[in-house]
Amino acid sequence: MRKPRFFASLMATAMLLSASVMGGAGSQADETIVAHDALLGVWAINFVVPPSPKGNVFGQPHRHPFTFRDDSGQRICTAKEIADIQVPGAWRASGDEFSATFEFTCPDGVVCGTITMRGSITSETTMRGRVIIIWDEADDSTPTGYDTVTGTFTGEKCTKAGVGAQHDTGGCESVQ
Amino acid sequence: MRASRNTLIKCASIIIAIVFSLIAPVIIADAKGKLGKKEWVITVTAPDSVSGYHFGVQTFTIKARAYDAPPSPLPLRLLSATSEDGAMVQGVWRQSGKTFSLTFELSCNDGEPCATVILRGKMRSNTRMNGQAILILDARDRENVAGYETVNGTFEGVQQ
Repeated sequence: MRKPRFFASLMATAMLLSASVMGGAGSQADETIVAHDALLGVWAINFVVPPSPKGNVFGQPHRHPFTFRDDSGQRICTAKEIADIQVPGAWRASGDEFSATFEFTCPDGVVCGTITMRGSITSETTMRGRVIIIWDEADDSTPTGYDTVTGTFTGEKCTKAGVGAQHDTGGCESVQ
Repeated sequence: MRASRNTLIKCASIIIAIVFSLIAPVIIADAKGKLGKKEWVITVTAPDSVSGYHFGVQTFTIKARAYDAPPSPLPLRLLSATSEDGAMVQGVWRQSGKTFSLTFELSCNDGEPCATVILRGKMRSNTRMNGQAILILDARDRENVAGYETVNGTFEGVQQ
């Protein structure tokens, strides 16, 4: 009568132990994949940004291929604009979240700006987040002292299959 | 003969003076500092944020360069920012005349609060710059138009 109880408790303990070990290893693996590896590669990212309080316009639609690279710890990304223009940026990642920042490429005399993307990897092939654009135009009413606007973005990782044909200003298929 | 020679010399002098007065401002403007030349040692000072994030005074060595990246018709303006403890991160920059903007992501350990650094400044001479530093922290702040907590500071830079 005691043996089954002993085995039952042993089994329960073993199951609890293995579950905790598996759970720990699983979350660590997830973090490793999500934080860094999942971001590497080419993404088609779609931005939705309203006009700024000062009337500076990011432009809609805004969908571009982004390439995230890590060259020996130097984390660089490039956004492909129209006419093959590459806009460079820098990024970091921690957990399932990342931050990337870019300087616009502007002709002289045009109000230019800085873009910062704060996002999270929602699956191996999807991301979403917020984008902050700080224009060069001064605005004393904002904490930054510059005309500032926020928007949102969603991204889909480009695979061999592509992500559809509805890209407005260049998507995965234009870089594959 | 001598009179016409003097007249010719006077005319030539006037033309040289006019040409010099036209190109001198261009030469002087062009002589203003360029971010993409040599290295800049930049000291950034920022107050603590409302939530307690401490940046303090930090010095970075900035090496900014423009790299050709065909088929892109424009070069990639990349920079490396090396902090006093030797941690190096990549960033990007742009410059129009005397004004410039550069940005990079700080190097942080996992779990530490982190931030994006934006430096908006002006070249004050060939070898000196200063301006405003904006830190965009990772902490959300729904009352801030940026959606995240921001801190404004200052910076000064010297070309090495």
